[in-house]
Amino acid sequence: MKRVSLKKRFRVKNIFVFVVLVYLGFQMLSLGFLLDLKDVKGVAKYYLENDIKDTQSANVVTSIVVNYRGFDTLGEVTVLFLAATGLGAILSGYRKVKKQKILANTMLQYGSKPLLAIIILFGAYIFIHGHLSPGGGFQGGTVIATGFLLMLLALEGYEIKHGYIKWTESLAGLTFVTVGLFGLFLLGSFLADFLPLGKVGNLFSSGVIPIIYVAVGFKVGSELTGLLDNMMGVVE
Amino acid sequence: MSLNPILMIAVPLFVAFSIPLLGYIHKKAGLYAMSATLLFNTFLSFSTLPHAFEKPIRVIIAGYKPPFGINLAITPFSIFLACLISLMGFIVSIYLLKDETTETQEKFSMLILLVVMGATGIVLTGDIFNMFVFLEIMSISSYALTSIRKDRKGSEAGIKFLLVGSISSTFLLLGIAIIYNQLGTLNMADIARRFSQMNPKLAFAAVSFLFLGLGIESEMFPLNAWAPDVYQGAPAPVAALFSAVTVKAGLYAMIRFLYTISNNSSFIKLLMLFGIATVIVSELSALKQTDVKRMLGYSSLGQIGVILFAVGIGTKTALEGAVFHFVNHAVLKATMFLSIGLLAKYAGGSSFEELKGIGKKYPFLAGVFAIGALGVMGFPPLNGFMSKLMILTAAAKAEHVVLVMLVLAASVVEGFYYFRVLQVMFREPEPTRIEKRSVSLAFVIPLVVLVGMIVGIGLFPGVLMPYFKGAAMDILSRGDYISVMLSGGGAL
Repeated sequence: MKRVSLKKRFRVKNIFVFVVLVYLGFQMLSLGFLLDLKDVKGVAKYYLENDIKDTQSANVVTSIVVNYRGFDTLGEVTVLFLAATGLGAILSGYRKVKKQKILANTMLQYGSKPLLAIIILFGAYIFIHGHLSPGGGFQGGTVIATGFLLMLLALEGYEIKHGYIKWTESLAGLTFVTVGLFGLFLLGSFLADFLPLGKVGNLFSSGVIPIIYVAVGFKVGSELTGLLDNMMGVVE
Repeated sequence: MSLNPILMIAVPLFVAFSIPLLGYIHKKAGLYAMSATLLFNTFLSFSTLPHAFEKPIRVIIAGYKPPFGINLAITPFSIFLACLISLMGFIVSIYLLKDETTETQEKFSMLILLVVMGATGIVLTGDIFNMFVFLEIMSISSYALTSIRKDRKGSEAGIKFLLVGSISSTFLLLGIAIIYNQLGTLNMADIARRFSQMNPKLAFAAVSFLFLGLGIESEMFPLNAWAPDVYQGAPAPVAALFSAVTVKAGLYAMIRFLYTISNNSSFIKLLMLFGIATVIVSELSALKQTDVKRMLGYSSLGQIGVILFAVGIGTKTALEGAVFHFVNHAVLKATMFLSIGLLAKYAGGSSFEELKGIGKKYPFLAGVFAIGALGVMGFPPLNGFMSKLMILTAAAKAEHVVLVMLVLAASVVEGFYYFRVLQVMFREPEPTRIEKRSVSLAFVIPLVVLVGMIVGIGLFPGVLMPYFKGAAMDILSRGDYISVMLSGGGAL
């Protein structure tokens, strides 16, 4: 007798929760219709109109990410750094064995090696041309990390030297902050663009943007690789 | 010409990135670098303090004037909290020099440094999305720090913290996105100036999303169920840092958003009710705890409730009391967590059973804990008394007599459970299983400094009074914030 009533109560609760969720969902949807999704206004309009004049970068997204709101990007890079560090700290000390249940076939094992070089080249192309074409440091770094993921999956017992990752991510992060500090000491404003802007469309243009994006590329690439390597393998 | 306040963020970042490389020089180089950087931050924030109290400072980043670029908004309230945060961070970091919580010393010191940097960023920034980024930095390092010991309690607390924190970030991001969609700007002063131009329904949604998100960060009652687990599961110095640094940053964000940006009086009133609920629920939950660290966690939530209550009242004296309580809560809770951490280490655990009679073995550490407990309860010569008195007088003046009585009742409960702990520590016979070990100087110095602050602030609250007044004025004078941040701030 008691049991049935308990079950019933649970069911009523579930229905109640469902109704509330549906109601909230509709409310959210009605909010969505109120949003202004048509015109570009405020700072976005300013960025679109003044991007070339201010930064000489053909890619307006890049100039927003690295220049206008470069401080946020420094923060985002730090967030990624923290995620990698935190995971490393929590997972450290476990003995891991990299074993594959079914070995990758020979074709994949041999094919992945030349492919790695091509993937890294492609990633580097993306972050070096971040101010000219779509993409940038984050995207290029991710592409590079996928190359290493391929190696980790294709080759049993593939080791990535942690020393290299450590050096790369530290030096890349230091480059970003140092560029910012140069801006502070030369022009009195952190992350200010202290290099000549050049002409839009050239590889060497947009001042410090390519330097920062290359650093971000290295940093993201090495951090994601480190993350993947940390999570690879079986705990004994 | 003094140093640019942006260095309070840039230098810790620089050091944090170089800590992995410092490990090649010496095993403990990272720890010392962390401590030195926090000392630098303390120095810089204290040297900026008088300038910001003269006139708020606007620091432009990347050379673009607000609202097009990001800027730091260094107002009296924010710089006062930055001082508190870096000072508490530095004191805890001295304690960490000899602490062996984890084998991964480098990563540990990096995470500690970035928690403090994130909190400093939150209080200094003048851009709402930038504030979100710093909140992310602070919370992600907090998750890792919570479970850094890799034991069961820590991991459980860490995963809870991670889930709740992610929900909080989602709400914050949604709220910020709605605001940006409506106003096309992320600068806090610019948003504040034009907040009334938003569609009222969307404005309500944005404020409620941010209220929820920041409520989680500032440990408000229905949203704080994760907090006691975190205080119990995290290593003691980390718990001290959480209650002294990260909650303060969350509360700052809440106050800045409700008072300066949205200026929504009904949500401020709501804060008062939630504050009272936080006080009552936490103090009653603390009563039935058998683990002292967990009990301290609940007690910390109770103090946060008092602060939220004071902020919700919204009169000038109440806000002064709230800012005062910020300081007191940080100092007291850091003292108690640090001392109970050491006692628990020597006794082998922090439950009542294990701490029996520990006061006779370690009179100094237990004495420090007792002073902290007396301070929290509000014993007259100690610092907790003055701020509570200010808040309650302000509440009584604003004619919230019933609420005042509830807070007082909660204080009685608080007194009851703290005296129970002290009785267990001092009245029980001396345990034979615990051997007496010498306490390292790196542990003693921070505790002595903190006790000095408890007594000093309690005896001479007048020294800090002008700062509380300035900070409270800053919270209330919304128009000044907007005009200074949009038209150029004072000189350094």
